[in-house]
Parts: sequence; C-alpha cells; structure tokens
Amino acid sequence: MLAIECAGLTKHFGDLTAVDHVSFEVEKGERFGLLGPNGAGKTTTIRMLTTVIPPDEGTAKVLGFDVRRKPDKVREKIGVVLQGLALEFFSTVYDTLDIYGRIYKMNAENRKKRIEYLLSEFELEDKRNERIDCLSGGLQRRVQVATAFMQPPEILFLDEPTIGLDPQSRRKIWQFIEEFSKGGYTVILSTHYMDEADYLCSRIGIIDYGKISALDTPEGLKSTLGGGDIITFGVEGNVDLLRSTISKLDYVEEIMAGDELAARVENADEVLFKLSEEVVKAGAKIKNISVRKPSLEDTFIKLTGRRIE
Amino acid sequence: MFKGLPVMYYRELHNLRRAWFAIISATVIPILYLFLFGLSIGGLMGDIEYEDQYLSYFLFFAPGAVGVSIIFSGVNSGGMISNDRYSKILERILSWPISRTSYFLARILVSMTTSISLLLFVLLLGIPLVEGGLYCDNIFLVLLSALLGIICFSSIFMSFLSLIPPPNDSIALTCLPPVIMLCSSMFYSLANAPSWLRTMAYMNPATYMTDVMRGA
Repeated sequence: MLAIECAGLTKHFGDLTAVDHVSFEVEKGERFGLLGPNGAGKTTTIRMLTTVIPPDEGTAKVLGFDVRRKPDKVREKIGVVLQGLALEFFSTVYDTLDIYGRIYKMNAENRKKRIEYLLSEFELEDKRNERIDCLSGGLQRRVQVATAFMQPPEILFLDEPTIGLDPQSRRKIWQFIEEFSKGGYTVILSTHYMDEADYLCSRIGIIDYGKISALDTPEGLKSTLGGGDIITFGVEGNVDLLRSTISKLDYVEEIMAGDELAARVENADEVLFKLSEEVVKAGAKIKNISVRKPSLEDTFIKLTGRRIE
Repeated sequence: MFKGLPVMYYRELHNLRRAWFAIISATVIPILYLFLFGLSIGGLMGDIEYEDQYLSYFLFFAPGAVGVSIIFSGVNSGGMISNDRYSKILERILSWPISRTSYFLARILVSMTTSISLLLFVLLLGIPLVEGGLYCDNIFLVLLSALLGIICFSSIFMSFLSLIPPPNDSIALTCLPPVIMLCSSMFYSLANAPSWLRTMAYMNPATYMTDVMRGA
C-alpha cells in the first residue's frame, strides 16, 4: 500500500510558486527524503501533506486519505516534527511529553511508561522538571523530536529534524529514526544535509525551485554521475581557463560544476600524476589535491548547478 | 466537530497555571477598578439615576467592573492565539488530531472558567464589604449574561487576532478594549450621553451584557 501519493501538487504564495507540480509516491515502511537548499519547497510540501495548508492545485493522499477532503483522518495517522521550535516554552519537559500523550489518547499508565522511555532514549532524564525555555537549543530540539514519538505514528514527517544540532545529538536522532522505521513505520524527511539524506533515506527526491529534479535511491542518484573518482585541485590561477584546458583531455570524463577545479576520471590512480602535470603546464600553482568517490552532493550540483550552503 | 476538546481544555488550563501572574492580574484589575474607580469617581459624581431609582456610583459600576474582567478575558483568549502563532506552536497544533473548533472552543471554556470564578469572587467579596451591599435578585441572569459576554468577546478578539498578523496584533489588543469599554454603558449611564455615543453603545454587546447584569 502507498503511504503517500502526490500528483501535480502546487502551492503559490502571491507571485512565488513555492511548490510547482510536484509528483511522487512513497511506499509504506519507506524512509523517503526531500533534499534541497533553503527555499526549495521542502517545508511547503510537508505543510501540505500534514494538512497545515491546503494545496492550490493537484492532489495528495496520505494512507489513502485526501489531505483536502479528509484532513482529520490524515492527522490521526501522522506525527510531525517542524523545522522551527514549536514548544510550550513555559512547560517542563515532562509536562510537554505528557500533553502529547493526552492528545493521542494514551492512558495514564502507558503515558508514564512512554515518557520514561523517551526521556531515557533522548538523554533528557535529568532535565525532566526543567522548563523548556531554560534548556539549550540542542536539548529543546531533542524534546521536540521526542514529542513526535509519544504515540508512534504510521507516518512520521520530519522537517529538517537535526538543523543546528551538535554531531552527537544528530547521531542520536538518526539512530532513533532508524530504529523507529524498523517497526514498519514510514518516515518522510526533509533536509539540506547531504550526509543525513544519504544515511537515513532509502529514496531521495532532489527538490529545487519547487520542482523535483531527480528521484532515486542514494546509490542510484550517485550512479547518474557514472562512477569513477573525482579529483579536486586547490589551485592559484584562472580556474575557468584550467577547466577549459583539462576538459579536452581524453581521460577526463567530466568537469564538475562548482567553484573548485574538479574533474571526474575513471581511475584516479592511473591519471592523477598526468592530470597534475597538465594543470601545472596550464600555468596554475597547485596548493592541494584530493581524491574521492562521487557523492550525493556531486549529483546535487550536477542536477541543480549549485551547491547547498 | 469537538474532537480533542477535553485535551485542549486541559492544555489551556495547564498553560494558565504557569501564567500565574495573568490569573492574579485578571483577579486584581477588576477589583481595583471596582474599588478605586468606583469609589473615587463615585465621590465626585454622587448618586446616579438609573431605572427610576438612585444608586451610588459604586453599585452602578459593579456590573461594569465584571464586564471589564470579561473583556480582558476575551483579550487573553485573543492574545493566546497570537502567542501560539508567534511561538510557532499553532502550526504544530494544526497537524494534531483535534478539530479547529476544539482549539477555539477550549479557549472560550477557559475564559468562562476564570471569569465565572472571578464573578463569584467579586460578588462574595462585594456583598459583605459594601455598605448597602452588592445584591442581585437573579444570579442566573447575571451568570447567563456573563457567559454570553465571554463567548462574544472571546470570539471577537480571537477572530480579530487571527486576522491581524504580528506585530500589529499587540497594538490591536491594546487599542480595542478601551474603545469597547468606553463606548458602552459600563462606566456611565447612557441617559445623558450624546446621541452618536448612544448609537455606538447600542451597537456594542458590552452595553447589553452590563445592562442585563445591572438589571438583575
């Protein structure tokens, strides 16, 4: 069964088309990611799917329920973590979780057990009686994510769940999302972190200027570059001229877009020395060289022509 | 239609418990209005003719002071919407499995709870303390009028504040209550008021709320 079905989903804000005829489907139990820079349309798409705002055009169904016609049914099935902090700042951590348990009609005993479990999992035990506004930004974020797990929803929407978090907290939340999805639950995640999308998502839709430009597994997206290695030169010199020079070399498969001088080759071990010589011959001074496998970011830059800042 | 109303009511009461200063000010302000304003202006004005009898200004103003409390509880209801919107929790609430009606109704119910408690407090305090006594022949009419007033003003302020985005919402919250209170029969008798003011007062629900309480 499909968890999400979107067809031609569109949203305008005045003259701006925030989401432009977006269509995709997500299977139940999938971890689906929307990857794109700020302002790409990720949050607006999630807001429409979670019934916060209605679409202007197109249709969207969540677990078979139309977001426009059956918003109540949709809300019963979903959990949401918003991009910005959305908490009762004068409430304590315990009371915040307790309210969420009540919203999802958990009885007192289950509520208590679940709160204790989440406080332990999110390492918030010693903060249970502290007011939200007295916590650090990272801890507030952890509380916000924890609220979405009070009553495990059939579909969990996470809008930039780890934005602004330290690496330890990010990893903790990733592990929790991973564990959660093993229970057969569906996760829809929006992020602008490449590593997050790569690690967490079984499929990724790359979204930019309100349109989905590619949709595939992380490996599938990376393979669109054709494999091989990417050699990046840190140089002093005219990068545009150097690009033009090395692009003529027969062993250079592709010049990568972006600010740096980077080229994809079939096997870096075989051509690294030759290529470096060509760069020096072209009049550049090499400061450093790095070799790596094509990443999701390379795919993103190739598809959109820009880097996520 | 009323899905999630109990939990939303619980949430509102829970939040109110934290905002203890709001409860104190909601209690103290009308009592201050009643005693300071009622006694001081009463001393200047003397007795007021109302419905073929003469009343002290204090007694005349007592229903108006209750009205002040009801209007401020409406302001609080509107203010809480602004607060939810400003703290972004409104967006989260919109994705909760509750109806929109329950969200608004829970606020009105909390306003009813606090205002009716306050009204009873004012009556209990006023009856033994005031010479001549605050009295009412029909407490149910007073309560009914207060409840309708709460529903009316909470709805007005919530609708108003839903339409006005920050930062203008706080300005609206400051400006609207004095206009409602002063263009009504809450503070003075309309018998000697200019005709344009009487017309405005008769379009104002606060006039009917106060007059019903005064008549009861």
